[in-house]
Amino acid sequence: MSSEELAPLASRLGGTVAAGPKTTILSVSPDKVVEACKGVSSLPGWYHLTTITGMDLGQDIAILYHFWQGKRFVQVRTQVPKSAPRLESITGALAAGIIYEAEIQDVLGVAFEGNPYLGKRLILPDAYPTDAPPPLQKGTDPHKIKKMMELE
Amino acid sequence: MMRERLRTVYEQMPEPRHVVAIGACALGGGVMKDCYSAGGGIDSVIPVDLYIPGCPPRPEAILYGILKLVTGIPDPIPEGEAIVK
Amino acid sequence: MSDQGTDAKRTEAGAGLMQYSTEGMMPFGPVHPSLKEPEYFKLYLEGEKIVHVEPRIGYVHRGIERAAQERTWVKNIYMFERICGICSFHHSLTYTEGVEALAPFEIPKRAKYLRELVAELERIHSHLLWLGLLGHWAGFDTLFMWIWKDREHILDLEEAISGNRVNKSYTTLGGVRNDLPDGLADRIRAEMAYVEKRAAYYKGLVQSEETLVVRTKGRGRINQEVARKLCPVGPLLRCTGIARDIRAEDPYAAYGEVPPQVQTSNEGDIASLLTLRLNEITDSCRMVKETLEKMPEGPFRVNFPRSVPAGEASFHVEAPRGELFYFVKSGGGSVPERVKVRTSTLANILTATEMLKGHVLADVPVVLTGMDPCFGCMDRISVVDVDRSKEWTVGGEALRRYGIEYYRRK
Repeated sequence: MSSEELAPLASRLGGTVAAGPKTTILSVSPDKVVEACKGVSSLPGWYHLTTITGMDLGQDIAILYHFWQGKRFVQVRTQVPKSAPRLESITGALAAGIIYEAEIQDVLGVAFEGNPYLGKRLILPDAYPTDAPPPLQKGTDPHKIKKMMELE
Repeated sequence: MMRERLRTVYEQMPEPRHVVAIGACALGGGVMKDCYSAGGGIDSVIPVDLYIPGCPPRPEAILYGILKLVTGIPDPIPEGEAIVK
Repeated sequence: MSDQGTDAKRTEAGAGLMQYSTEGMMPFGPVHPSLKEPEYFKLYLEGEKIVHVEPRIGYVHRGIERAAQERTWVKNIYMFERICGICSFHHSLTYTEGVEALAPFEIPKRAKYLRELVAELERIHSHLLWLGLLGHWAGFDTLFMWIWKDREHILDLEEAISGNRVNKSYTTLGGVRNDLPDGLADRIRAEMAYVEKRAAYYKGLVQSEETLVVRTKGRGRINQEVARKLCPVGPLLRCTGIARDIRAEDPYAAYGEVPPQVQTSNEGDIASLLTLRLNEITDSCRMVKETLEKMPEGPFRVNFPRSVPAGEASFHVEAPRGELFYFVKSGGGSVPERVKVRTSTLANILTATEMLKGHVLADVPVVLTGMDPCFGCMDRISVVDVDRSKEWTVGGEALRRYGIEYYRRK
């Protein structure tokens, strides 16, 4: 999927397209994410949702939706501020995203509205303290967490 | 929470009971030692009778260790009738 | 749900306890602490059939992605390969090839061939392991013992190549750790001939043996529509007829020159998965022999810089269970900024819950094993009887025996 093929989708959603060596990245604003993912998955050929990655960038948290069709990765990318980590869930359109979003909910503290696991934990053990910051955020110290969980 | 489960299982074992720690992670945390959700060795939770190191220990090492443990236990069968000397 | 407070406490209390529900229902237990790698499935039953499944994982959540940010690039290899013992080489392979994608030079060809050789050996051992486990869960322990004995041949080969049966640490940044020892090539060829013979025998066996056929034919059926909706990976995807294999689509290591023959099936049930994985074993034997033939001479390793150039790389391989995906971000330093791992079993959980619907409790062990979970099968299952509003927990071993008894009485 080259940049040209993604361009009409990008311009409709007000996003930008960048092509890396193996990945074509479509960056959109958080409210357009569901549209973008629906758009990518309905392109010709079957775009399989590989996973959803979350990254702590300091002030914001980047959410990357990786799609694979057979030749290149297509990545839908967005950013939410840490002060308001909320995003609409894509599970209404792409049921495969349930598990991956639940994972990001647990480890980064981003809330995906509409995800059945919102408020429940999927991969974080119950012993993980509820008042501790999410583990993958930049400020979290794993040793402090261990002390809170009395593992040290 | 796993620690409580481990402790509970140990306390439910009828005596005589022995605990064998197999593998580097059971010994002292192994390669995941400082991960936020992994504890150290299990001997901080339950008493361990035998440690078998390795990642993973070879089958021969596990057999050797367990045999050593089993043959080292005081034999309740009177002498002359023991199967394993 | 009556008495849910104490019930919930009892069900969560852990392995080894006598688990029983309220109102004197038959106790399902005790569960012996065979905590391979626990996982929790909440099964909602209506009458005898399962109507809804809710997974809860995280019992072996260790915090590896976070710990990776504090270890150097090379040290991370040793940690990632211990995520899973069965597909350990594929984890380190994805990681190293992903990091190498950020670097501007190519690794030697011989290293790529050696990587493919060991990767295919791992695929064979993983599929044999799965087949034996399926036999065990279906009550066919002889099959389990025989297959695992055959698997020892592969493990001995892996040990001869890399020094360890599991967690081989064979691949490293820039190539592989050591070359093939002298004389091993002939031994590998001999073992491949042996494995091919055994695979052919097992293929006849799984299609004719009553025990297996009755428990796997028509069970866990999925079709292409479910696959497109829930995006499973690996053999689970290919058994619906969709021919997607990362080794063929996006070759890594030496797969561009020694490609696989993608195996599919159209049936979509567990019985077809049996044949499919056996076919993959035979195909892997072919690839191992071809790799040995075509392997070029040359160095097996190049030096790799201690600090990896900044950038982001997505990389995936076809692990025995399906697509294994790593996303690596480097800030230009000596430790990674972010490593994201998406294992194949995580992608298959949703499909597994779909596969379970409509089945009776006795089918659960076989159907769940059919998706080849990388956590040694469930050990903690909670059963919710929707009609009678009762909830009780059953452990893996008890469920396995229940399944065997159920079918013996039929």
